[in-house]
Amino acid sequence: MRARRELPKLKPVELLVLAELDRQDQHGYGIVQAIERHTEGAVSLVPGNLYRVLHRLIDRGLIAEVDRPAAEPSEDQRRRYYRITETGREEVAREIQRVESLASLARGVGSAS
Amino acid sequence: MSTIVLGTLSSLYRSALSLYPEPLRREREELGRLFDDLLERQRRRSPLAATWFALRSLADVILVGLPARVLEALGLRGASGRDPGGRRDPQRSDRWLQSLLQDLGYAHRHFQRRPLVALASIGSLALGIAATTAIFSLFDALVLRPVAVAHPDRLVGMVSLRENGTNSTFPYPDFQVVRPAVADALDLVAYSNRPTTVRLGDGPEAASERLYVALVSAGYFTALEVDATLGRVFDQQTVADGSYLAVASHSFWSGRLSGEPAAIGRTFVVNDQPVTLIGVAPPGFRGLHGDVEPALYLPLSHQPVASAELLEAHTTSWLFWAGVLEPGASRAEAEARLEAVTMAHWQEIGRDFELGIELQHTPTGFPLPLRDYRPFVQLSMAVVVLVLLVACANVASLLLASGASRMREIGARQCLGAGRGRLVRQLLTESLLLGLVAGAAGVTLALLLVRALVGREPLASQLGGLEVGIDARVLGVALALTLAVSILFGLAPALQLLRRNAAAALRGAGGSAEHGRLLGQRALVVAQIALSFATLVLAALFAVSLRELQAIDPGIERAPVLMASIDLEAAGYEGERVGPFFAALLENVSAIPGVESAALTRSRPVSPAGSRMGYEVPGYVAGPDEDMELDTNVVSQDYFLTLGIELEEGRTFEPLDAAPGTTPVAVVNRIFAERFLSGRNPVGRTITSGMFMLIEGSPEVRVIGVVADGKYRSLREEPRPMVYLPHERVAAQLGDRMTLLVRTAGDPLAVHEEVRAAVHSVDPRVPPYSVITLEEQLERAVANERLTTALLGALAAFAVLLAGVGLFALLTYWTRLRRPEIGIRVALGARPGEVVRGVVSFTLALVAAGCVAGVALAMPLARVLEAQLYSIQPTNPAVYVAGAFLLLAIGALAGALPSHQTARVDPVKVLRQD
Repeated sequence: MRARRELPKLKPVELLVLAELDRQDQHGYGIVQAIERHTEGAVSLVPGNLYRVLHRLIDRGLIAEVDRPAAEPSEDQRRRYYRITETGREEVAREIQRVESLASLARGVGSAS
Repeated sequence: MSTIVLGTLSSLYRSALSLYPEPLRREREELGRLFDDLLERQRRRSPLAATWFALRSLADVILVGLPARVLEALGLRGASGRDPGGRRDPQRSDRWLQSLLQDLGYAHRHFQRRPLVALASIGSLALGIAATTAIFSLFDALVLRPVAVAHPDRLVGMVSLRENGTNSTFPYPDFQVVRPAVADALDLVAYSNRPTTVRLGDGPEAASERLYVALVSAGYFTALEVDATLGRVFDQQTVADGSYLAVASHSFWSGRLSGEPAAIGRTFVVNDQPVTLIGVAPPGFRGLHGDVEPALYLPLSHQPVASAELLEAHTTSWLFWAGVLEPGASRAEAEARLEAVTMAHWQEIGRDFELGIELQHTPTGFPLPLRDYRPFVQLSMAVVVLVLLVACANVASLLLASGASRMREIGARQCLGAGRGRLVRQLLTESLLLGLVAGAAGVTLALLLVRALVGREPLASQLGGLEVGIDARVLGVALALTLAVSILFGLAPALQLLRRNAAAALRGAGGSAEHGRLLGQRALVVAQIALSFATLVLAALFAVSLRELQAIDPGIERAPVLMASIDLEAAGYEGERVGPFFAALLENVSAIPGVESAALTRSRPVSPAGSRMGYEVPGYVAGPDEDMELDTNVVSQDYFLTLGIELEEGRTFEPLDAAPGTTPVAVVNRIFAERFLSGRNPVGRTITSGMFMLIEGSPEVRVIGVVADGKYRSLREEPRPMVYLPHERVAAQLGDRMTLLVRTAGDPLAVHEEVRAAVHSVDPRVPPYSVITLEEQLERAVANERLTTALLGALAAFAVLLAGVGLFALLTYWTRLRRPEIGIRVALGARPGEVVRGVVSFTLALVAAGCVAGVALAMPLARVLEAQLYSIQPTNPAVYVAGAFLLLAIGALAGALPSHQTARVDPVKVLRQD
């Protein structure tokens, strides 16, 4: 418990990026597209912003750069791909659990009153 | 959205990317590609979405990149976040940003807890920066900014040396001889600005206007390398072709000619001579003569403005000469060449009073623009820098004072391992944050201030369209100022920090560092008081001087009078036609309802322009050096009545005085009568003038009356003899350029339109100009002094306020430091009054020291300004003593407040706390 608490919490944007990479390996453009789609346009990243998030996640060992899949359409060959690491997967699960338990706690408080 | 726009946005973004710090900078390729893809995607949605996306992306680069690059440049972080092996160092990559954010966070919290300190600091700095920036923009426009020619650095003006000083105008024929002879060293130009009546069209309906016209030599534009923004300029060739041409100034074209390209080719009528507009000068080019911006430039050899006699006269000096040094030619070489050629020519024609020629580097134009305003602007600049220093001292002192408790926090962080460098950086971040907020507020304020200053008389009319504003140069200076002052006042607490050790800081009390701080703060306060004392004394000297000036009796009634000038010479009137015009005009104007009387005068009251004539007084022997050229005014019959000038003896003019064949008459003033006609009754005496020999065939003029003395050229002048001649008699020779005076029962401006209509009904081609009230005219006589006083007063009030705040901050801190001691004294039976007295006397000692230093500062400054003061000595003791008393009173107040509070605390509580 103690060790986990010392890890800095994930920011919402970081969680969204991790969640997308948890689904599949993805390139920057794909990540921005997917996040926009999932949030119905509420979160729209600019390039600098996305790459700062990616760098932070790489620094913390949650994702890594990978070779591009051979099967991708040629247009996407020039893009750089990212893949979630095991630690990253654990972190996503843990964060989702944390948010969910927080949510149910809040619901409990709400219904109790 | 077109592909061109997309391409531009893309390359803009890509070039901005280099602003990003490492490691983002290394991802430039990726970032650029991603930007293009996302921009294209947004574009498919809507152009608006694409624009918004591009803006956000750029903002991200700038907001993240710029601070990072600034820190990099300051050496506060390494250029790379990676180690030499190329691997990323996670510890380091974000550390700069984190520590910057942390510092900003600390600073924010620090100031949030002390909103008064923050507000007082930002406020005083902002005002200081605003005043400095505003005055600098004036200084820049009036003194520093070179004229808009291709090579202002090679521009020279010339003066000839004479026995009694220098002279800067020359005849035209000399120019024609000298110019070709010096062409290998210097491209010489000649010019003169003349007010001229111009009809803006050649039809009978076209309106006439009074405009400044620059008469310039044919090669003027070519030599200065000034090209037209529209159409073309004239040169030697086009002028030699002989057709009458004009070039409009940019502001005349964009204003009066509505910026119409079709204006090229239009015909104007200048003194009955049609001229064709062939081009528009570039914006910002106002000619070399800085005083007024001409509306039109005309080749001077064409005659609509300068008469043939003027062009041929060898004895009339009326043209300024300037030149552009040929590349490679030095000023000294050009001067030697010019002097050799010109002096040889002058010797030949017998112009023997010229002793030599001097070339002056004049990148800001020649003759110097707005000569009268330069001392004002220079003085303001000096004082404003004093005030900015007071503001800096103030903020430093506030930060030191608020730092008492701060030192504990810093000590704690030091004990927890924060390095000194890190802490110093934090303090500097804080002062930079304060400085930048203050700088932004200051520049905004400065914008308002400049607009207020420039839009108001007297500057508005004096600047004559000169552009004063916050441009890139001024902004650069403001930014440099901000950074410099931030570092200046941030340095004090930072140095403090370097000198103390953590343990002492944690204890938060006593020690030599504390005393050092107090000493430093005392020095700051004394300096502040000295600076504000000096400002205060200067302001007071100017205020007294202004009051004295305003109390001067100008010798006329401050009545509701409207004045309008009329130039018949420019309208082509000559000789016998002048008198009837004015007679008809006076009749028309007198018939306007609300007009009490109307008159004509050649010289406006209290105006530097005036005419002089030579006189002799039978029975009076003039001294060998006595100047018998005396002020002479030509006035119509009702002049004395209209301006309420008191008649002391005899009578004023009557219609019969104009009758031909009678002896010409004159009215003189009191000092004339006393100086030249003393002993006997002045009325009926005869004086003589060569001018009357020309006009009437006999030099004799009979004095018929004596009126009270007045102020004719300036309020400061000593009484000067004046001779009034009747306009009705000398209209044909001396009366073509007159000012109409209209005295009304109510507001004089209410009859403005009727007066214009009255002039128009006599002759629509004659435009009345310079239409102002007598009140405005008198106001102009003290405008310079009023402006200086207002500015110095505002600056002095501000400086004193700052010094008061600084003193208060110091004393609050000082009493807090001494609380234990005071507690003991109160416990031992000291009364609160005694405690307060102790603190107040400490304060008074500081203020007194400041005042003494202030006297040493103010005296030499005031001496420099002596010439601008009226009827008060620069060392007037009353002013100095009053200034000292004011500051002492403020000091006593600043000392009494905090000590009063401290003296009332419970000694037991105070002693337990420490």
